[in-house]
Amino acid sequence: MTNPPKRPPAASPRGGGARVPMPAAETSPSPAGEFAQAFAANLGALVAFIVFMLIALAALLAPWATPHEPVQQFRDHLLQPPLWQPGGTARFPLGTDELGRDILARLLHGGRVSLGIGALSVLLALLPGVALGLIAAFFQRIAAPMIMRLMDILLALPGLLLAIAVITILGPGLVNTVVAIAVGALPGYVRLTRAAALAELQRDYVTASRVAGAGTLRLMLSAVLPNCLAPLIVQATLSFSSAILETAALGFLGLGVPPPTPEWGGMLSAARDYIERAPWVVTMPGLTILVTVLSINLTGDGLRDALDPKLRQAA
Amino acid sequence: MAEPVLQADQLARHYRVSRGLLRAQATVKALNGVSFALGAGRTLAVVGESGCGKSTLARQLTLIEPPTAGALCIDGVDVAQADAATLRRMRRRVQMVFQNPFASLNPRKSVAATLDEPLAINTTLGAAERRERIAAMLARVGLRPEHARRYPHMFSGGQRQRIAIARAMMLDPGIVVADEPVSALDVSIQAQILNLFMDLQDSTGAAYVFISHNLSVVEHVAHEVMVMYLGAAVENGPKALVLGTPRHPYTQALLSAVPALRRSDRRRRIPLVGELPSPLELPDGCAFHGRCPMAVARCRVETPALRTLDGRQVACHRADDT
Amino acid sequence: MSLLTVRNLSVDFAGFPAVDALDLDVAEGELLGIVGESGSGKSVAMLALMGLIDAPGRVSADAMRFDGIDLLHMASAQRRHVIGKDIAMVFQDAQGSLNPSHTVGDQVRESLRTHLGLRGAALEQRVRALFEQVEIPDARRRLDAYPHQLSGGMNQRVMIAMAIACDPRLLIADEPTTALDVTIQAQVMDLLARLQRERGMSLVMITHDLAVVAEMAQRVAVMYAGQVVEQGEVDAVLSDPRHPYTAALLAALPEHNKGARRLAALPGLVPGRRDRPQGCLFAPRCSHAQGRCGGERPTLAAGVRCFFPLAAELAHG
Repeated sequence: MTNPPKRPPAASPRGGGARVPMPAAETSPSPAGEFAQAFAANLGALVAFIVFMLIALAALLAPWATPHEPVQQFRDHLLQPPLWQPGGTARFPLGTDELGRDILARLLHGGRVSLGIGALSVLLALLPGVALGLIAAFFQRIAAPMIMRLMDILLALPGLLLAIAVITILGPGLVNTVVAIAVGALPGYVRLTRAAALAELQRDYVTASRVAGAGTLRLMLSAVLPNCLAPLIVQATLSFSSAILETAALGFLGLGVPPPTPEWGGMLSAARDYIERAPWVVTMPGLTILVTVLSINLTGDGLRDALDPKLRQAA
Repeated sequence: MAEPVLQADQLARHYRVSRGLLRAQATVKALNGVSFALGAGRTLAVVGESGCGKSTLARQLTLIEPPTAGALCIDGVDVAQADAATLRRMRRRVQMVFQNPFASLNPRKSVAATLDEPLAINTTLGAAERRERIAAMLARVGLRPEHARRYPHMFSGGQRQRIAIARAMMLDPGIVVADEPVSALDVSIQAQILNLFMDLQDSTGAAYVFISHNLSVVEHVAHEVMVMYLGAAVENGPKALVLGTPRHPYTQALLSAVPALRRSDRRRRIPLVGELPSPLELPDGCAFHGRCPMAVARCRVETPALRTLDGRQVACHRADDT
Repeated sequence: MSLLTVRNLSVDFAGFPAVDALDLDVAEGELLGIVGESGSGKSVAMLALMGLIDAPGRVSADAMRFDGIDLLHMASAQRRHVIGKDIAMVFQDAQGSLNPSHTVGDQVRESLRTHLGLRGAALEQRVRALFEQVEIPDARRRLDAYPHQLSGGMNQRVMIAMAIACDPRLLIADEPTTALDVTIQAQVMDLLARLQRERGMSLVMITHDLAVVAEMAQRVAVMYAGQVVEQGEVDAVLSDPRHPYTAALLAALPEHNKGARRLAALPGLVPGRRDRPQGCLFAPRCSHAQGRCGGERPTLAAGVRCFFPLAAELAHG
């Protein structure tokens, strides 16, 4: 039995296996396209996303959505109940607060403040956080220890206390609130980015880029960062919602946005005394915060499920 | 042979490992003095099992890490002496193909972007010309132009390996380090990819350093074979000699362990006793003496040097008797 | 009598037939090799046998009998008595298949405790004896080691120890040596062969490596795209293949292309989900295909699934 087995007649080895067939009718969506499809398939997340978009839109269009100014006081309509309760009128659909200001107007304008602070604080934490995280991952021996110890110090203080401390130093106000919240969120991004980047650096395709001659900056931005985006995006949505809650908490404590600028937490704080007499003054901002934060969190969950390849069906 | 394109002389790479606060740092001798010379259009196969240092060698040859000792010369120029500009030029000359086709392509980059990167970094070609070159290379590795727009997850293992090979060849390197390039592929795909390697070598004259544990693949592709054990070469020479009449006990044991399709090819199994020693505590003398069926007292104290015997190089005190 | 009988086994994943009308027989004490490439369905078939296929996979068969017991319609409580005791399985990635939080000794003990009810001194003795049987040196110390502290070869031996702990009648080994070094592979192969001989155990060896099958198995089944395309005595199939796929697979091996610069490569890819042919699954890549092959699916007849099996070689040297 020393003969090699016969080959199939007229076997024809071709150059390097030319004419490799591709499965028919296979369109290949980019990773971004696939992500959009996966996200849209998740009904809960999609609904949450739409709700959040509506809230954001309403807040954006606040000046045109309501005829009243948020700071305008109607002395003859103090603590007017909302539309559906006895004594309510269509003029103030959600009622008025203790100073006679239209709650709907205050909610809408307050949304601009709360959502604006949320978005800005996320950006202010995200950009430096990602940069520091990448630097810590790439320069393990020199920069990493310093950066990470600094982050450890920030993490040692409870988030809200840290925000309060910053506000105490800088003074209350819109911008300072953004800074205070951002400082608290920064370590999370740095750690997340560093962990994801370190994992990416082990991958063969990053080594391949190095062998192709890529320098550190190109490696960071072109090879490593795009693959770290998934957990960062999820973290960003979730910290958006916690930024809103922190702003509300600071407002509740009287340390956030100063009156009379409407802000959801401040509205809650001021309405403390009226819980029994005029519950709608508390309930409306409370419900708004609840719905907004819930929709953001559900969107974030949906994002994570759509971005994490392990949770999706294999192609 | 004419001036070798790649030459290693006692190449060594040691890593310091910390073993905690209270113990002294240990040294892992991943590469412990490897020497070889490789000519254009030739293939050197590096054979060895886990811990032999072949991955470390691959990282040295592709200039990812500098050697701790020894010299590496590309086109006759010592890497250690090269300035930044020369190093950049050397980078273009050595490229790599990795083992795992599912991990060696960036999932967020289209095939075109992956193939474009080496050109964008190293050349001053315009976008149109780069596109042309990408299309030409895709055709050369057996893929179609429309594949350029697709993403890696749409391709099979064999197709991804073709893309990886295309990426390595984009800069027309003279030297390609292939680290187990077909180990993760099915037999029928393996044959296609090996043919591609051979075709490219014939048309471009590239030299290959072909790392593989599959001895029948090695038998097919190699001109020279180097067998490594615990960071050093134990046998090195023309394929027919090393694989046909091995003189080092480890090579003999390795070859005897390979399952063979035909009864006539089967060798009597030479069992290896004991386990691989830890690279943190390399034994004195010959690194193989603990498991070698032919070890004598001398092997425990004296490290054998590579010497020429029977047309190849062997590092063994008892090679004359094998 | 056949120890294991499988008739018309199909495993379907949301419309995709990973295994398609598989027929298998394993006799008592026999070593059967199942050879196939990725997508051949060889691992899925064995997992289906063990009842390890979860939704969305659906298993269907005409018959799945082990030693007369009906595996197909068995309740899962009953199945647990058979699987792990009389039928055992060894997987490819030993370190990935062992629980990293438990010592290897504990993992073997668990099997003995559950199936044989051993306790105390009897348990310890049995575990130590098992470790010695699978040739783990320094067994006493190794019992307390965690999987990550042991090498790949050692972990594979631990897996084998777990599998043979309860003296199974049938051992299924799914690519047990693929992830191992060559010399370790040889040791593990010899170990499996020795255990099989000594215990009279049937062994089903799943592998993509034809040389391993040639050295170890008595019979071989070649799978392609979920179907068995050829089966028979090892020597006959490997030296005189009758199915074009088997022949092409053998022809593509470096061993059969000695001296040639290029290998006789088989062009194309295994059919995936979207391009499954109407006719013979191998026809698109078969250089031997004729009109009938495109329209009809051949059935397994006389050990070959082909309308035009390759003619037998007239004489060998």
